[in-house]
Amino acid sequence: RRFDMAPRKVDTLYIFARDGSCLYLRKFAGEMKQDAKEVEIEKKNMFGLLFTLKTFVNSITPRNLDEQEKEPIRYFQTAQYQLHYMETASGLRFAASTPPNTRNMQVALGRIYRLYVDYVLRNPSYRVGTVINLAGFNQRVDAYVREIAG
Amino acid sequence: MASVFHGLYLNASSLGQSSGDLRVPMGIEKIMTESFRLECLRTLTGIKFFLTADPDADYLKALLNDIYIIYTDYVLKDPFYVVEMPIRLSSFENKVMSYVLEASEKGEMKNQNR
Repeated sequence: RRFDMAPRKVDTLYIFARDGSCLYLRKFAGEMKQDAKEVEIEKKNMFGLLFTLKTFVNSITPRNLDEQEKEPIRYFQTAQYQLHYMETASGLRFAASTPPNTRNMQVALGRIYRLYVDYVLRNPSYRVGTVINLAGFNQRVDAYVREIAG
Repeated sequence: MASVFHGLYLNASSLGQSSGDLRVPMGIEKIMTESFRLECLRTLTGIKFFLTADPDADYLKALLNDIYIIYTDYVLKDPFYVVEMPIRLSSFENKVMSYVLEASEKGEMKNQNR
């Protein structure tokens, strides 16, 4: 299935570990002056929201879920932003905020996951589960975000 | 469930506003999952209607607005109904059911013609 070339402007990219720690937060839109405390609050609030959303979705889904099965969330949307979501089998959570009414970003998040595997996981200096601070990964992510912004 | 959603709605709203100003909360309007979609209408008075449906059901916004009107006609105008209490009015439920069935059928037909 081909990835359509509709523009997708990513404002913020989050990567969370299963335990809730934020491994990566990168903003692509304008100059947002945020102090360190605000950033920490945003990370906690975002993970909390995603966690509660998952619980809510699993209980309200019309599908009969097995014991360990979960209902995959694609995105949610408010009047101000759209939050695309993808969870890997290992419990890593990728979330990207865009303007509302952006096209599906599951493929794009998959590509970013691929970049994570290639430039973070396979980096010998990176310890899994820690904050990601790698220039190579940053560059690739920046380039990809620019590419899909159209 | 409704109270969980209410909390989610407010959290989503606060994450979208850079400063914590006390304007009208703009929370979750749509949730899309693999198996279903949820759409929500928030009225000016803070009441929230939400529907879950097939992921392809793109007619929910109009249906939610219709249900809001049915609510004002059959619930709010009922002389015995006390605001904010649970709604147990068969006239309201029947009307909503007929609108939902009609919208679902129309939605099905549209999808089949695609």
